[in-house]
Amino acid sequence: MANRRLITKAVLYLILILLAFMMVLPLIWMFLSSFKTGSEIFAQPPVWIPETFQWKNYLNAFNLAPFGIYLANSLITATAITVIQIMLSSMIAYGLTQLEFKGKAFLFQSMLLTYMLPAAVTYVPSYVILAKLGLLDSLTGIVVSNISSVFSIFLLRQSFLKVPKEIVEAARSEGANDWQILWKVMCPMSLSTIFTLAMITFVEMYNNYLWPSLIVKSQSKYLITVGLNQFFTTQGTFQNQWAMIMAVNVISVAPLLLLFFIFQKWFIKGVGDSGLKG
Amino acid sequence: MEKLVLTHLQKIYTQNKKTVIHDFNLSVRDGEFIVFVGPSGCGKSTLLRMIAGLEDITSGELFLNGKKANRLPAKDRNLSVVFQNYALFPHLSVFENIAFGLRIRHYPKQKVNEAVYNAAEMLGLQRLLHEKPKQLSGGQRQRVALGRAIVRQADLFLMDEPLSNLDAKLRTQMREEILNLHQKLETTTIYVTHDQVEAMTMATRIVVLKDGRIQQIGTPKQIYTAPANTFVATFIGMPQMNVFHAAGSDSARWDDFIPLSLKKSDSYTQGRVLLGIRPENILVAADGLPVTVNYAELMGADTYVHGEIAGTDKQIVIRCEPDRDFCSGETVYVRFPEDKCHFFDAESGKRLTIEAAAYEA
Ligand SMILES: Nc1ncnc2c1ncn2[C@@H]1O[C@H](COP(=O)(O)OP(=O)(O)OP(=O)(O)O)[C@@H](O)[C@H]1O
Ligand SMILES: [Mg+2]
Repeated sequence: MANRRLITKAVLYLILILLAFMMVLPLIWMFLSSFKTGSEIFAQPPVWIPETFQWKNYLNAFNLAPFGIYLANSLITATAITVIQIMLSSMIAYGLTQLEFKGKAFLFQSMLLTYMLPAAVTYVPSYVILAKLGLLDSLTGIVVSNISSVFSIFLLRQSFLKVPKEIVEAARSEGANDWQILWKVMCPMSLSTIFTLAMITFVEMYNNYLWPSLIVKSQSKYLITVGLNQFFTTQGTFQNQWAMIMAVNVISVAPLLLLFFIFQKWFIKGVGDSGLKG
Repeated sequence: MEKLVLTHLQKIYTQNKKTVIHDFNLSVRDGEFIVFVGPSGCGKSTLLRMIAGLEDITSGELFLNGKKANRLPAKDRNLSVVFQNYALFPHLSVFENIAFGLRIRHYPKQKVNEAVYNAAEMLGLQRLLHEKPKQLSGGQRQRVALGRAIVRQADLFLMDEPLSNLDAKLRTQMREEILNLHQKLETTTIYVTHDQVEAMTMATRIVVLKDGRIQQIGTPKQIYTAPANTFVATFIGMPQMNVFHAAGSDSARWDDFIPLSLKKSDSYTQGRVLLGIRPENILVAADGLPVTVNYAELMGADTYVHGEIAGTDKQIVIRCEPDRDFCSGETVYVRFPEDKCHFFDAESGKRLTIEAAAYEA
């Protein structure tokens, strides 16, 4: 019996390891390739470890295009969007869960309805609005056009609904107003949701390509995604530029990987206790 | 001074159009410990929540410190609520839980520390200040909830069955602690319970409720010795009061033990009177009304004898000294001392005051 269980387990682990390996293989290949020469990348049979590590690929890449600026632009806009979006969504979610007003159900339903629309449908009107606001080709424009998200409102609303009524009432009778209840009770109690949401939003915004590429024109406003694509299309045709492209790729995924390693504990852990007895 | 006055308070829940509180009138003086007691679903929590400002008042008026406060938001009422399930903030330490109300009011740091340490000391929480509520036992959580209530000089404490989640021993202990706190702080308190022992031991005045209506308001002694109706009479007291139809037709022998003047009254002969007597007021004597013993329970300090009045199916409970043994089937003779008898109208259940003639066996 014990033997069979062990075997099943071993097979299971083998499959999992294989799958995991398949997932990270391209990343490893990318990482190693960023240190290769162009001919090593295309060599047959494939070369895994470069003969000499070509650190200068990184320097060359930075010399060919302002990746530092792209990276900064991406980090700044993604952070700003994440922070503002979560703050605004929390306030809406609070209203939807804690306040009584006419048309609440209608408001929520119409929000959900807009979620069903494909994003591409909103591009043209959003573009026109941004143009009228004079926010085209600016980082502010990227931030402003992304600060509202039905998904985060929905997720936060679900999380706020789980906060027991008595806890809100206790805060209220201790003298807290709605603003204080939101920031001192609801948000801290929904920390795991907020955290997950922040990660999702950040990654999504950092990886966002299509919409930003439509509204930014000048190179100094490029996000890393836009810059990367630009670099690829202008340089990608020459074999010996591929190593640099790999180097740039490594730089652009580094922030996300870093974020993941710092916070992976948080992804797994949930905040369980609801504060009531039992 | 009147701390809290409620006049003609009524509550109808909009969801189900149910009237939960009917014409509730009460005025609470400064420093009183008022207990709302009644069976489950009688509207105790609803009343408390209306006072706290957590539930709308359908009609009637609520005055706090002499000012009309029907629509005053909960946060501005300066009262603190202790909930049945504690409602502690799970993300805050014990210290921060207690300090919550002070922080909201932007008290200076030093004052917060002082107040929290004082409260913690009063409740024996000093060593738990840095724990999270999750790590505490039920009794400790309850203490934190009390701490949160007392740290701020609230005008009024509202407690909704704060002890119902604790075991019997802890409940007795916490009961004493709450009473001690009340003696020390003298803060007007409204305490909700369905436990008559809590009501009797803690209250300066008890409000007995049933189906959203006041049955009686009075000191524990008044409630116990002069219950306003059969509901109060049977709700308060363990084991509960014996209540019989005192009609002459019931039984010839039984009739002999009814006070004379009552016998003469019309209501009596027409069977419209109920006689109540508490188990501990019944005397076991050499002669009197015969009772057939069914079984006896030895409770320690005394014995509860369950039986029926001989020749009838009327159940009766007698509370007597534990030194006498009773066996099942045995006949004992009992007497009802006249000054311990309660009389109620059989239809309305209301207390009757009857000038009964001297009782003669
Ligand atoms: N939000 C609500 N909506 C509709 N009806 C309600 C609501 N809350 C309570 N009720 C009804 O009001 C009545 C009184 O409820 P309440 O909670 O005040 O009783 P209670 O005396 O506190 O009972 P318990 O001892 O069980 O706590 C009950 O019949 C209940 O069904
Ligand atoms: Mg209740």
